Amino acid sequence: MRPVGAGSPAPQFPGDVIVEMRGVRASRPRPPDGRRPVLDLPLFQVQRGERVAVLGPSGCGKTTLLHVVAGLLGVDTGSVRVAGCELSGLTEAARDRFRASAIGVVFQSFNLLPTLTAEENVLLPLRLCGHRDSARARHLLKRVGLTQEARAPSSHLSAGQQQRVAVARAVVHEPMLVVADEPTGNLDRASARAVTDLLLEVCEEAGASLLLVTHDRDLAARLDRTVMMADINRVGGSGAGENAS
Amino acid sequence: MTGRGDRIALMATLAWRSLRRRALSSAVTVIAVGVASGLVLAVWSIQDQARRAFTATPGGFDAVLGARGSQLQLVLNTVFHLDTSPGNIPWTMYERMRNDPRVAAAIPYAVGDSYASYRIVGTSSELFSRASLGDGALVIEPGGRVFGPAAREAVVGSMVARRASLGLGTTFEPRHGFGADATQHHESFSVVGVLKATGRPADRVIWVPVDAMLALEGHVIRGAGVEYVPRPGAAIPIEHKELSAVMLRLCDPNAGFSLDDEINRRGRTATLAWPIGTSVAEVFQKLGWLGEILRVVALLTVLVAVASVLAGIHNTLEARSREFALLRSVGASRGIVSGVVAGEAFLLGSFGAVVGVAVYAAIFAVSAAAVHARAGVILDPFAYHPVLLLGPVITVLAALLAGVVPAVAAYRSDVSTALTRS
Repeated sequence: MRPVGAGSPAPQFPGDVIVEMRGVRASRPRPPDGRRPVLDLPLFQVQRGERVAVLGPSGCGKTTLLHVVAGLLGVDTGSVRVAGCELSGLTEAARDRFRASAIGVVFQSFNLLPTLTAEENVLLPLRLCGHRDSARARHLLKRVGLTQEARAPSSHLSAGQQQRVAVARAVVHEPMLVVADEPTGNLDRASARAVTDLLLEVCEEAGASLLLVTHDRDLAARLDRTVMMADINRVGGSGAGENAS
Repeated sequence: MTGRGDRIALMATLAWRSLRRRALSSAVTVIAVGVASGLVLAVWSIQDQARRAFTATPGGFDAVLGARGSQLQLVLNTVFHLDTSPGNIPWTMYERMRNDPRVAAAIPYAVGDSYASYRIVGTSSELFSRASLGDGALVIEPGGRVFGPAAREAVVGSMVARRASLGLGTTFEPRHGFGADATQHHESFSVVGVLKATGRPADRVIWVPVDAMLALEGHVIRGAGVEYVPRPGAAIPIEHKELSAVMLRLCDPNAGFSLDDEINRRGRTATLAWPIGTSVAEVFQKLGWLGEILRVVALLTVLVAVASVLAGIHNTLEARSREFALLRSVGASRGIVSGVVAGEAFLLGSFGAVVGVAVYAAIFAVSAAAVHARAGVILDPFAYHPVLLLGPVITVLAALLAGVVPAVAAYRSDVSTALTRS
């Protein structure tokens, strides 16, 4: 399906590289009016269909890396190509449209809009692209084992169920890339394993690459490749800032 | 549905659900907006309607002739049956008006007695004559008739009939005066007619023949300048008769100018209230400052209500920053996020406008009942006033305006920062 929002850049990418960051520098606001550097990446790539884990301690810039790849945060300098689209040259509105059509996201917690039901949360990316394929949303909810909970308010679901809904939402629009920020960080071991299995399976079924940030070496080991943040980010050690994540 | 339509529907859904999630504070805000909106509608509309109703009440008469004094008091006493009579005039003045070629109809009014707190007015049968008063004539319900010229008979207004249980064939004994100081007459009157409801002050009056009223035991009349006590069963000499007022229907407007000049400017014994509506309109003009105060108060409540919309939404922004960031993370633009916030303001304003109409209806019902009971004037709930259309629209726009501040704050929030903060 790969719905693309009106006016969004058409995802075209020659070769097998789905994410390519070159000479990227990114910073975050430092109150009251300064900025502190968080990311300095000479080169970072993810291949098409590849499942990459990014490991590193808190504050080393992992989340910032995900936000830049997802177009949630602009860069100061450098090139960020995702699915053939140069994000650094796009306006924020264009990045929003690109994200709506080509990227799925899963966060550690509070993934769902509490005012919507599970099904409505899954449908959200489709509706933002102007589609309303309830059948696909229901299919995915069935796929993640939440058929009965489709109409339940998301706030009534357990943490594990909420993460499964988030996984379904991340792939409902058949994105080329799913970014996940410690998706199992708030779950018990059994739930974490179940959610990880699900995430890997649905990404594979959807043909999406996966870029996953985690502290969990066991989880990282299940992916195709592990990248240590300290190896790629020249804002080294804790230089990325304690709160940069 | 188009992509744009779907996004608008999504914004509406999110806005509505958000308000529903904060049901109590949303309800309080809606009520605040509704009360403010209703007050504005009520202040503007009821004031205008009251002015129109009171100035349009004369009921077939153009002028009132009464004792020297306040024109307004004369009008209030004779047209609205409120206030006390400014004094009496001799019967001869009534005779003079009846025979004046500038006067199409002259109806005598004598007041001073009551029954069950309702005013008794002594008058002539001409009050019920279409030939004399046209559409202003009082109409008696089928089965009833006009009282005899000097008989102890009465025609009662529709409200009196209903509230004092005075139907055809019933009798009552009038009291001299009003309220606690009134003394009981011992002659009884029988009801021979009930008036059709007019929506005018006539509904709450008991009409009796003027001669029968003047002749009641205990009445002392001074038409000739000396006290005269009517004798039971005997006709009262014309020179001793007196009246509270004479209601006049004039032949043409020039007659009004002419009589005004003759009675008010050159005369010293009587007062002519003409045109009747003008006297009432003057009251509303003189009380204009009161209306201004009411308007200012109503607008202040609107200001408070609008501020409550602003504060109600703005206070939730911090707690909802993660929610908005999530929305952005799945591809929603800044515009959609601020649209959700503006949508909440729009919904609060819209529901407030609906509640406002209900509040207005309630205020109107209470006010109309009070005005009808006290003055016999009916306010029309369906009478058009521009504020009835503009008020709800302005309410929604004001709420939207209040939503601009939080909507801009939501628009400017940084998604990446919000996601890392929580």
